Amino acid sequence: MKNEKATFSQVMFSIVLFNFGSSVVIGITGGVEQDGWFTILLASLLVIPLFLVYGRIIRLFPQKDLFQVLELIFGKIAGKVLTVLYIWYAVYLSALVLRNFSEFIQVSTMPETPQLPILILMVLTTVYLVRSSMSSIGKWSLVMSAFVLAIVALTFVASIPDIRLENFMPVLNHTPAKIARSTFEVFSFPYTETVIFLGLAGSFQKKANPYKMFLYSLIITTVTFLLVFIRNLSLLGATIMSLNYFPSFSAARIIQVGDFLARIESSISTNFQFAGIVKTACCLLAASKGMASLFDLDHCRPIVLPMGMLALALGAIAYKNTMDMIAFLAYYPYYAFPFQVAIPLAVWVGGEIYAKKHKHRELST
Amino acid sequence: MFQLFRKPERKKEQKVKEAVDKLNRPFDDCKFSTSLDENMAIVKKLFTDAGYVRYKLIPGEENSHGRYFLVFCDGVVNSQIINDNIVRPLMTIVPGEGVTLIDALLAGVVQVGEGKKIDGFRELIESVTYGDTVLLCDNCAQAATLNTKQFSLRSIGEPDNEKVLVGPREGFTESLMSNLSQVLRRLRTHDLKAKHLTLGRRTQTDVCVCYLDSLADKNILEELLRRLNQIDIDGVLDSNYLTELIRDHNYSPFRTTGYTERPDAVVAKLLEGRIAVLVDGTPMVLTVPYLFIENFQSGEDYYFNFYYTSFARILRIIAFFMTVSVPALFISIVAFHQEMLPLPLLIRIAMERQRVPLPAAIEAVIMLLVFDVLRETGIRMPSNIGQALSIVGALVIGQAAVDASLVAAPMIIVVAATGITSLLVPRLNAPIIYSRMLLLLLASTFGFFGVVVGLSILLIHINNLTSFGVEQIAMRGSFSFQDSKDILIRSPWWTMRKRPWNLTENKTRQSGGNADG
Amino acid sequence: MLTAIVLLLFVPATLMEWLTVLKHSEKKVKVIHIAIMLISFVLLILYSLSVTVPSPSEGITQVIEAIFHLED
Repeated sequence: MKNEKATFSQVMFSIVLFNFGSSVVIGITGGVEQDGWFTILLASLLVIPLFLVYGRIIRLFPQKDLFQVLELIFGKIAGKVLTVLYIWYAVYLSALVLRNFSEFIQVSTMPETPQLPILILMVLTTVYLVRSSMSSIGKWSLVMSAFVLAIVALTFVASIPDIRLENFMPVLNHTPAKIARSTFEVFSFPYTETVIFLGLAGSFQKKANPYKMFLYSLIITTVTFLLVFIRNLSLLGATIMSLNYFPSFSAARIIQVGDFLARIESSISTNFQFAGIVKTACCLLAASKGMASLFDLDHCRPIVLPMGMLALALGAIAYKNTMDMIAFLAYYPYYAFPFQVAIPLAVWVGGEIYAKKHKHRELST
Repeated sequence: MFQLFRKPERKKEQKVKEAVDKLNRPFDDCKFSTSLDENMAIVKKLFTDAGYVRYKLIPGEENSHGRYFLVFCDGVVNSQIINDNIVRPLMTIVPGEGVTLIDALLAGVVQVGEGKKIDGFRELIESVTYGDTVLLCDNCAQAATLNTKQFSLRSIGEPDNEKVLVGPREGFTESLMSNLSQVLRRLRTHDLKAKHLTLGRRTQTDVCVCYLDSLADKNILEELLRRLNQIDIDGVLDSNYLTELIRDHNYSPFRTTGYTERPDAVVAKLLEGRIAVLVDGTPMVLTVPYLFIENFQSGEDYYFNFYYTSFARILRIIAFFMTVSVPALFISIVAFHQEMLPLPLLIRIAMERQRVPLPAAIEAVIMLLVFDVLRETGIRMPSNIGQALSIVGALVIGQAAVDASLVAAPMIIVVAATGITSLLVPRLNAPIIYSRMLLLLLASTFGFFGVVVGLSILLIHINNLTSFGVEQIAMRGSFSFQDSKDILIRSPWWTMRKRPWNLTENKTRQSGGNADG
Repeated sequence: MLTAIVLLLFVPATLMEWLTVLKHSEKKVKVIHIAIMLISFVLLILYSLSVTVPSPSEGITQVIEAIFHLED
């Protein structure tokens, strides 16, 4: 691994593509069809304090990643236990993302191909990307963000003639309980999965402002999600959108550019691929760094391929079919809550205490 | 009784044989002895059967300097200098006083501009084989090597592979000194440094590392010299030997050092802060470090109008992506995603594909191979059959194959597009061939997804390339207009105020309109 | 057929890793590497032989069901 630190823009666009990654494939909202825009906005507002907490953690312990911080604050044993938990979370997350993509490819374009070769190809590409370093992922994100966001904008513009505003009605028809649950889902998938980036914080440049990174990427992500949602809703309508497993894909089937270019959904899937590689790569890199910190290794480079294989195996056995995958989304926020919210809050509080203790020690000696 | 006379003979033979054996081992040396006869015997034994070596023994007079012995190689020496400036003075002028006889000869007798003292046979071998004359004398453990080089070289002409429409037409030749002189003529500054190295155990090739002292990055220079000094190979014939021995990524098909045959290109790169490596015996000059965008640049970009060259440069980049991905995209659309084509085109292609027995992927592979074969024959064969054969190749094979229903017509178009776009970027011909095959293989198995995976692998690989520690594609995210002016487009000269940031610290190229620094 | 693919994946991957990275690493790294590769190898072989491996997703779902009673 080269010792290059990732710059501000590289990390910011990595976060953007990370959030874009699997949620645009599957569909952002769960259960509240035409009020999705509301849940997206609500979730992004709720996430802001959490991002500030993440930023503060990075600020308190510059150049250290989450696993080292866990050991510093909670001591060696508890720190290692928490590290194991986070490694599990990161590996399973990358397995889930891989499975999302291979399901998508199989269902949409290649029904007869078994999923295993697709999974293998994606894992190998991702492992190749991760073996380089965080700044490689950053460079990749810079290039691909421009491409991905351009395609989103283009498809949005190409779909404008077909927009029907009555699809947005009736507005806010659902019970607050349903909206709350849906917001919770959007909140944890994908917004707070950014907690993975705490595990990579050791490779950020020192002068990169973590608050700005998280918040700017939040703005870009929210805008992108809204554009995608509006496009899908306008083209498909509420019921079809809720019935579809992959609404973006179905929406792209309807888009017609001029007279000659139609059925461009295969090019949409390239978008997903490029973003999905970033998401899997970040999770794998975090898991490898966790392993390296767990066993006190110098570099995580030799561990990347085994973690990739592990993610591959877990992804293959994670679900039996597509319906299980979509159904799991309802349970995912509860499973992820401790990793995304509870433990970081504890780390933050512990971190503040630790920093004060250190200041005291420095002043007293 | 004759045994008594034979012993000193045999001893002398023994000594000569030992010396020659020592010199046959690559790292041993043998110093001159003070006896001229012994030195003469060793030299003659070293060069037995080497018919190109000439000896001249100038007999000495009594109570004076003794004999002189000249060694040189016919064919690489200037005989006039030897006759007029060495032999004649040696025969007529009496040497004055000096620390040693050799010093006196060099100072007063021999009329040659460059003369050095040597004291070992290894240096004698190196000098004599390169065109110098070595002068040995009686009772002297040193010898003098005098510069009498005269090689017969190719005249300076336009390089075949880098032809330009406008701009200078000179190219490098095979002599290091002549190449260096062409660079010197364009850079009249004391800042131009040239470090000499000798590489290759048997060829002892001269290698010259040139750079501008105030511009080049010293870390890269140190690293380059370290790698060059680590080379241990028996012969260096071309700069490509050096490229492969000093490169960063050993297994990547992409280039990590630039090469050029034109002196103006080399001087331009030196002015940007790069380092040039000239190798004796080849007109190809290496430049280090190498950025990925240089694969798409050509020297005449700067001699043409900047609108035209910006367009040409973007065209080349597009050509690279096209040549790598067009066969794969065609196969994936035709075999997996037929719905992407507009209906009339789809019907036409379906009609064509119905007549053909082979699956699309195999057809593509065969036609690409045929194209590559045609291209290689075009390079190798003599020019008188060249034209006829290209007509045969293009028309007959292509047309006949389509008529015989072996190949579908759209495939011919695809392969022709691929082949022609690959000629736009000659520096990337190695990676293009392999990437194209990889993408084709992935596309025929996995369709569009395969193309995307293949392109991802290619892009990740290109992203990771470094050349001597400098990233070939540097994207920091902070977009500065100054830094990107020479990459995708070629901005006019009056806007290029700074040098590329990652090549040198000394960035100012122009200050306020006056060329400075 | 799938089993063949799994073998085709693991054998060259381990070989390549051995040649490039593992040769110069310490013993700890080698042990961890082989252990994790072994676990994933076993899981994938079972998957390719159509043996139902208990999936973590089901476990998580049951735990959350027990705590929160979401099926309503």
